[in-house]
Amino acid sequence: MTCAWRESETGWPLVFLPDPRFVNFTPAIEGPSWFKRERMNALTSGRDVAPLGIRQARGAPQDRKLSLIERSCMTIDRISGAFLFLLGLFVAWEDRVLPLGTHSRPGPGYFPLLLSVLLGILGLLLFVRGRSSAPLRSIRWEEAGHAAAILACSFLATFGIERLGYRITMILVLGFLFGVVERLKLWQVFVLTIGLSLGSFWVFDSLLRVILPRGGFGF
Amino acid sequence: MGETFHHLLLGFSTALTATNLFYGFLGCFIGTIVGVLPGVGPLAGISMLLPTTFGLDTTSAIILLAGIYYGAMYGGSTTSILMKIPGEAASVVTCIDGYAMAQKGRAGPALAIAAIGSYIAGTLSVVGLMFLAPPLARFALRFGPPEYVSLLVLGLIVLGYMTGGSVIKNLAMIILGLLFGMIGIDQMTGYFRFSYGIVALGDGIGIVPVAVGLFGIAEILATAGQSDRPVVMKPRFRDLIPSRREFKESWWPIGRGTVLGFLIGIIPGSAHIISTFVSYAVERRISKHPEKFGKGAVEGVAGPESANNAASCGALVPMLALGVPTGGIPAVLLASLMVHGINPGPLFIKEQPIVFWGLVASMYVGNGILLLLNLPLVGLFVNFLRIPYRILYPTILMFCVVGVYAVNSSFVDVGIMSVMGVLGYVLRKFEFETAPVVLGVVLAPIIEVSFRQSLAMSAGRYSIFVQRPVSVIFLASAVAMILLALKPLIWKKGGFRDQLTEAEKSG
Repeated sequence: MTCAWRESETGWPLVFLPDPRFVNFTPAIEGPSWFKRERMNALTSGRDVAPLGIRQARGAPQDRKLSLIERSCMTIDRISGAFLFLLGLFVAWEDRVLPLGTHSRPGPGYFPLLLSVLLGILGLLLFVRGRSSAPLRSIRWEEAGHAAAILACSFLATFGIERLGYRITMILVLGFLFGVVERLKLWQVFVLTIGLSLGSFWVFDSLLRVILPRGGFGF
Repeated sequence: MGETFHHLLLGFSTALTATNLFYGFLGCFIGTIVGVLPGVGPLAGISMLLPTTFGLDTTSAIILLAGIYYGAMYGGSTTSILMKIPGEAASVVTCIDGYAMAQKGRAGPALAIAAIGSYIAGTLSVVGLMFLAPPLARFALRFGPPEYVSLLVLGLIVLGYMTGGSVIKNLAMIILGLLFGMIGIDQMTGYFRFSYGIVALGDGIGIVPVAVGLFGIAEILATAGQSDRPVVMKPRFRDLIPSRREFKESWWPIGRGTVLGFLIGIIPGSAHIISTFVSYAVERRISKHPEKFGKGAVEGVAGPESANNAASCGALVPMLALGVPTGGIPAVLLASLMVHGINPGPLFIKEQPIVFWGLVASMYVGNGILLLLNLPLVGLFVNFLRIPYRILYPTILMFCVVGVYAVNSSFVDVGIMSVMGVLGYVLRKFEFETAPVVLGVVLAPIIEVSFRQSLAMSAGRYSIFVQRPVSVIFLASAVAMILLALKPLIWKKGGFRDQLTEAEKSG
């Protein structure tokens, strides 16, 4: 190893600079080849590059195969474009059961087919132009756990509202969100859950005459 | 002119009844809360509360919903000035100088100038709406199906361009929305399309579950788990009245913001957001002291705040005159008219003078109510910001469920809302804008029927769209817009669209 590491002025990124004592040197850089390439580029251009450990912690590719896929295909726009293209194909396929009609008398399948073709073209365009967009890994899903719990509540409300009635469903949904997900104090959970469930029923059903479903025992 | 004032008198006699005054006040009050709370946008707010208007007569319902709309535009400035958090995307620009003024201890005057500017802009742009919408509607009576198709194509392409983010992605979202609009019974032949045996889908996917799912549920999913709100700055409300110099420096920016906002508001897309950028840029460009901008220039609050309120009124012009909504919120307002059995279109103003002129008059009254609400009661609204988000989002979820269920008393709608929530959440992660989907759903039946009628008229020849002069103008404008959209491919330079994208992300 004939190079020296030096801390950059900007903070944690380290600058990889050749030691001035060794003019003709061949840097022995450890790590995957993409990392070596970046280091070599940094060496010649003098720009800051984060060390391998930090790059990997931020979600950088781990090996050559993944790097290649990530750089060429696994970008946000490429994945989106591919999905839209497939969706266009799917709609066109589903459209086959509808009569297309003629140009002068378009049938119910005519316009959806036109739209599916347009969607496919836009998907393809997005895919082709998507190479330079952000990598898929840059999407952060920190709130996914919370989101899943809320979504579960939303689907519980969907299937429970007519079977259990509005008030019981809302007591279950709000009780779960306040008590289990947000871990509020017991009295807070009780007051908020009962107050909001029954209060909203009173306002909408009794006051505004928006009919909300009742479950067993007329509750 | 005389006829207009006669109609306006009719409007005031409608708007000034005790019932309509109450609903106007209620709409403004709820709208201000919606604008103040960063987690709830005006689109989700209006959609959630739409079912509560079913029991009302049409005029009261539209007065209530329009009150929420422009009330939210007023309220959005409060959080921008006091917390540097835009209540909705159109208030992003207000954060810059509004918050800087608050840091200098001038939060009160900043709030007052924002409210006064909004009042003046709101009132003057209603005058514009009043004089522009009826002649535009008369002109549109000459439109046949080909003109409507071309107009809608132009509108959707402008929407794709004027909404932030990638134009290709925006266009794809419009197509997706149009495809959602294809679900259900075909209006012309009675065929069930893409309903997979679910009878409830026969009527198609309603705009309310789509809008609430994409904007209400998706917002909750994306922001849940975030830490509670930061501490709200405590301004000295006792010196709410701006100084003479601040007044003097605000008049012209308010005037310019009003004109710019109203004109830009008519254009489809995120017009209310764009108008704030344009206004801010104009004020900075013509200011004798541009260095003051960013450090608490009152012009940087007065101009953009006036512009976004004027734009929200301008957006009602094509909706009321042509039956063509230019954004998500006018689309929901249009849907609310349809729920009440009113067919929007060029005949709306002629056939429903009480509804139209009642709405116009209520907006004059509503702007006054908002001025009264926003200045003395600002302390009350600030208290809503102190509600922890972990208590707020389950409450929003509850309102979403009750709002969507009440439209058709159908659990399928709640299911559609949930699915749209997931879709909206994922689309946001993949950097898609979701407002074009809502517009696509609303416009799908109009554009499809007009398209098929045009082809039937021309015996299947597409040339009909370029044989009629008005249609040619619309299509040529659409092509020009596409060329504009292609410009960045050749000449890479950050323009207003980059700023717009940033604003929509932070809003």
